[in-house]
Amino acid sequence: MKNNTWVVLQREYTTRVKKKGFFIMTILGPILLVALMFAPALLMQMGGSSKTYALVDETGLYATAFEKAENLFEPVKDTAEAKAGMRDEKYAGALWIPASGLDSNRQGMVFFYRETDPSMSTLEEIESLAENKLRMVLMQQESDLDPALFSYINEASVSVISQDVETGERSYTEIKSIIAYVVGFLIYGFVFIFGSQIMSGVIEEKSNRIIEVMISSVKPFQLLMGKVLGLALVGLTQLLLWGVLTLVLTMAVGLIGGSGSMEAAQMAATSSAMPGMGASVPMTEVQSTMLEIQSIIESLHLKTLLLYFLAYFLGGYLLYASLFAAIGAAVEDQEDTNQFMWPITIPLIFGILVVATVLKDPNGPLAFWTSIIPFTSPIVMMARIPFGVPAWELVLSLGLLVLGFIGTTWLAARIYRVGILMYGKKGSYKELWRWIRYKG
Amino acid sequence: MDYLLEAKEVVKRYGNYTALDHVSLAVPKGCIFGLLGPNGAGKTTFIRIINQITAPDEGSVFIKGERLSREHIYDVGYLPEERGLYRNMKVGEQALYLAQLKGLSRAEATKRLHGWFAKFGIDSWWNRKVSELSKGMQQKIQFVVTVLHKPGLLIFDEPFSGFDPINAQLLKDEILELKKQGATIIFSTHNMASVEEICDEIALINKSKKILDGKVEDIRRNFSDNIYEVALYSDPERMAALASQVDILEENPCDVPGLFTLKVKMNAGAGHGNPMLETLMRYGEVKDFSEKLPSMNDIFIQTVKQAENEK
Repeated sequence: MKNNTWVVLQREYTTRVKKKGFFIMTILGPILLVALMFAPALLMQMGGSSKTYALVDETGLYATAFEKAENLFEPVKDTAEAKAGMRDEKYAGALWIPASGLDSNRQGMVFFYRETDPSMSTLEEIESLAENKLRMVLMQQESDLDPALFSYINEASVSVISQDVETGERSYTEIKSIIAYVVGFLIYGFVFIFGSQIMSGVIEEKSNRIIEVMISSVKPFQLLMGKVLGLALVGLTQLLLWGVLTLVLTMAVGLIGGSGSMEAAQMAATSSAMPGMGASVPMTEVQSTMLEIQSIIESLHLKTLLLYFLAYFLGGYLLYASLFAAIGAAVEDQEDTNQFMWPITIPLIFGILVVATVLKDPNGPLAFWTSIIPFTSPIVMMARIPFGVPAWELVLSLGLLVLGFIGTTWLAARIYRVGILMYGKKGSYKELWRWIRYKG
Repeated sequence: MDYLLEAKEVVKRYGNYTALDHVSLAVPKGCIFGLLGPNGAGKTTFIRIINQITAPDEGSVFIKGERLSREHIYDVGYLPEERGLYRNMKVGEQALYLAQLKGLSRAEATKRLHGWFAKFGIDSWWNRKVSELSKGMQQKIQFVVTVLHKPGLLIFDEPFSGFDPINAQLLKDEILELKKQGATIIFSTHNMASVEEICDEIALINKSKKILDGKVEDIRRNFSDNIYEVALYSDPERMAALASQVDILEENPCDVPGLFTLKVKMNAGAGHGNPMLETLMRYGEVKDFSEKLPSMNDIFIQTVKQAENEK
């Protein structure tokens, strides 16, 4: 009899994997991912499209300030000329520095634009370059400090890294935060996508009226399990293909783009410098970035992370999948599902929302409880794991997740076996409660 | 008597509603057994119990003398009244899937399916999607899938509904052929004409209770009102005398002079054929004599109404 669960599983798996949608998702996923990784770097390398702006400097102090700017600033006589140039599309914009303000440490400037707003980074660049220049000018006016000494002082900066006191490992908090979000959304997305597929599969069987033929050969529970496990395999297949394809694509893009783009990509990903590396060891840039990536990977404990991801991915999916099936069994068509969806939707969305809080305080009470309770734990615990979680919490959380999915499966199976044969009866929560209590 | 299926005192309740109330049935091996009853009588519930889709609250069911168990589903073929197929699957794949669920291997199922499809002239549909087929075509596939694993017990719930007359005839022939090959068939229907044609035995269920069962011939005889259809050479005088001996329910004049066709009944209570025939012979020359048995349709209506009145 176990055989039949297997036969159902095979059908659910093969029909879905053969679908065009699966193929498209499998191809598109890694392409999007790799594009997201490389696009900023590649764009940066291309240098983007640098624009020419007019510079109306009434103070006469800033002419050299923008030499290092990404965009070209061309000095013009007055605003009238600048505006005329903009109209002729000679200039994309104009920066007007009025003479007033020279007597204090405040300088107002106006950036004129036409049709398209200047980007945030353009304005920030102007501000930072101009501020440096202003400080230099003020310093020269008000003191007799050596300009070289001043610029040394002006460029002073502080950076904090965090390090494990036992292992000396560095913690890459930003990268971990990104991973926490990506993993959280992956689990959330998979639960919804595959859960909905199960639900519409059940609705299809019910509205097609094939269900009665089916359950004269298969126990409803076997049918349910065949579906749930079949789709779990589809999900794992998709993940595996994504992983492999992403790896291949990353390597391919790296090769084609040459080492330059690789470095750019890595630099875009991490702009911070290596810790504990004395200047005594001279290294090429490539070597140092390679080392950095290695240390990031080490710090993430990728293997453990992957293992936990699989555990929570499967656990979370199994917890919700049979509930989706139960909803499918309780309704007659897709439109009726709304009233039953919120018990599934709310905890999942709540989990995603909590991730933001968790990143601020990975061990706070909210993070703790939501990562222990099965309905949110797959998302929240995965966000906490990169930052380190005590073993007992992981054991408790995973244990409860297993109990949770056994519980929801049991509950869902009881609704499912009655629901699939109910026609013309609109399910309500009261009705579902009665179905759960039916015996036999 | 060798029974393929026996149900003893089967009770099934849904909440406060009793769908089957101590129903006992025995289906002899190798017969076509009609399961009759008005809508909502409990036929489908009974069939679902045999198929182990649902379990009885009380009572027990035996197949070939063994208490119903999961193993039996491989020996049962069920064509439900509400039947469908996966619309987006290909015909062949779909049939293979359902056959595998009934325990056939892929290879064996493929072989048998091609055999059946060739017989029905539908082998060219193998790679077509179910949604491209007409309803009649889909029903042929459903029928093939139901019988493919050669079950000892076949259950057809309203098999003819939705079939056009040609396909209905085809289906009927196939059902009779399966019977010849030794299958036992339970046949649930409202179509009383088809019951008379193909059923050997019936059970009538009304409002969760079995109110009548037995061999079709026996039942019709039991319900006989002792009405006979007669063709008699006689003359008006003797006919008048006959009228004092028996009830003449109908008298149809004939084109042939002196030939009377009548529907008659003994006026003094019950009477078998012979006394009636002797009486008739005294008043003329009997050309044709046959008992007018009630139709299953009449019996169905009469029994159900009687059961209603008893309440």
